[in-house]
Amino acid sequence: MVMINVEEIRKDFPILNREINNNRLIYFDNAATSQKPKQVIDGIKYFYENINANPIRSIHTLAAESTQAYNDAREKVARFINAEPEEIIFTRNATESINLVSFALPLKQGDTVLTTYMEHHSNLLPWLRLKDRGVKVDLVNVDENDELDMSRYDELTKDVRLVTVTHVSNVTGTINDVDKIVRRAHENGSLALIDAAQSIPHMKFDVKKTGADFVAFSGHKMLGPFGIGVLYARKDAEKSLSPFLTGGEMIKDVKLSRIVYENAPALFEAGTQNIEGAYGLGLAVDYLSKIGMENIETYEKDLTQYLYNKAKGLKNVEVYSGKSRNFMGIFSFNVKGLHSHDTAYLLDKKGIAVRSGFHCAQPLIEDKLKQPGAARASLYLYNTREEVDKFIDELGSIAEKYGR
Amino acid sequence: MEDEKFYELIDVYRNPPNKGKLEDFDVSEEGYSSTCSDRFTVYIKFDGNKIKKSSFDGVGCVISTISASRLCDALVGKTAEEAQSMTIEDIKKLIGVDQISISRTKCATIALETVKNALSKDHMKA
Repeated sequence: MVMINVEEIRKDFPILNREINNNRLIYFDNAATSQKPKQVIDGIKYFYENINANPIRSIHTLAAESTQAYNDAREKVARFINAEPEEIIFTRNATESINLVSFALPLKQGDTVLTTYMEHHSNLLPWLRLKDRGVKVDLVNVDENDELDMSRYDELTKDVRLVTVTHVSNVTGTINDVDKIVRRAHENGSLALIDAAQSIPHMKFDVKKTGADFVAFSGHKMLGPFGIGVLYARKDAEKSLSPFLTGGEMIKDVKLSRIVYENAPALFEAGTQNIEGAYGLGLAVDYLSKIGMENIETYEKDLTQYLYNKAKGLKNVEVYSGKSRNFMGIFSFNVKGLHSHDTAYLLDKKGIAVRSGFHCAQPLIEDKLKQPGAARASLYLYNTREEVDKFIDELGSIAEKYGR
Repeated sequence: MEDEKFYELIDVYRNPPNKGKLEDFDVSEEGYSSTCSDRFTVYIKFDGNKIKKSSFDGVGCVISTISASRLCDALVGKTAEEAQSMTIEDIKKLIGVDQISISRTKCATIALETVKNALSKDHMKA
């Protein structure tokens, strides 16, 4: 097994030295957002001290350098997922990427969008809203092992215009067989969208292998800054999208009687963009690539397994994740008799940061897991076995003292 | 909040006074916060222009549950206007803490907000 040098990696993340409530921070809220290495933090400072200008528009040296930086970032992100640069549309985050498709895809009355019960609200609400114009929204079920009812994809009907699914669940850690889902969608003549917000930061993702028409992900969950996200739109699929936001830099020619639009990706990037964010994301991608996504995935899967093995002995703790055959990175749980907020509060007193609540996946947690929320520990490449040990120890004490 | 305080509160949390639907009430309202995953319904019974009794039902964390439970007691004898003027400072006193962190503010105020919404309903304004 190729292992990564986690101690060296940790030196790149200044925040990991922070003390929280007199304890060294253990950051286990990576599915919400990742921490940033100094290469990204310093890079953004460098951008503002050396390159900053409004790109694309002006011809002076700084503007040219800024344009170059923006283009380079697009190329880096494209290479990272084996896409073409023209297929990379910069957005604010995965949520905006999915919303963009929901607005720009000409879905009409009688069309069906097939999503799933496993989704984050960001891959549910944009579609539910289309019901107002007569678009039908169906949900693929999740079984007791946190897996999708894959047989549903063998029964697609012709009215299904779009099949949309999360690659990795932010609650159960389930890794879905998106290659198969995309294949089934295409066999039916449907478009396919993958919410890869929880997968691209943690594993190698090849858009050509997966074949999806649209892939959405966020920069801030993969060591990049906030406010930058990506919509990958396959070249042919891009043509099925109509303009979304309109304004500067998304047009070739503007007469009041006739507007000639730009080609993608510029068509979908109206107005001055988040150049700093794209630049930072490019640096984050450099960082991840240098370590190697296969290595990161192997390391995280091993660490996840280590955590689950240690958690087996915990009393008064219910675990909701990790039941599927293929999962990673997520440990969702409750201390019996405690609300997840209170569990998270008690862990925070020991310096351990976990998420609590519905995780923006209320239908899954309420309807399927039948819980009024859950606490969640989520791992990343800088987390260690020692941190897992401390987490299990502290969780064990809390469960012993307050659980029942 | 110190451990002892939390321990004391968790005891109240498991059997909070004023929990359950009032058999006879004049106004009720549901309040929820998806980030908190808290959901409460409050019930209020008036005697003339003063609150005679109130209760709550639902699921939440220690902070939201205890603030709801103790708020129900604190409402007794107040007019709707007096209840409307209550703030998070009153809630802190009810829970017995000096500080509520920004991430728990919603927990502390969900019951109060729900009560205020209940008391703002059209039929209350008559």
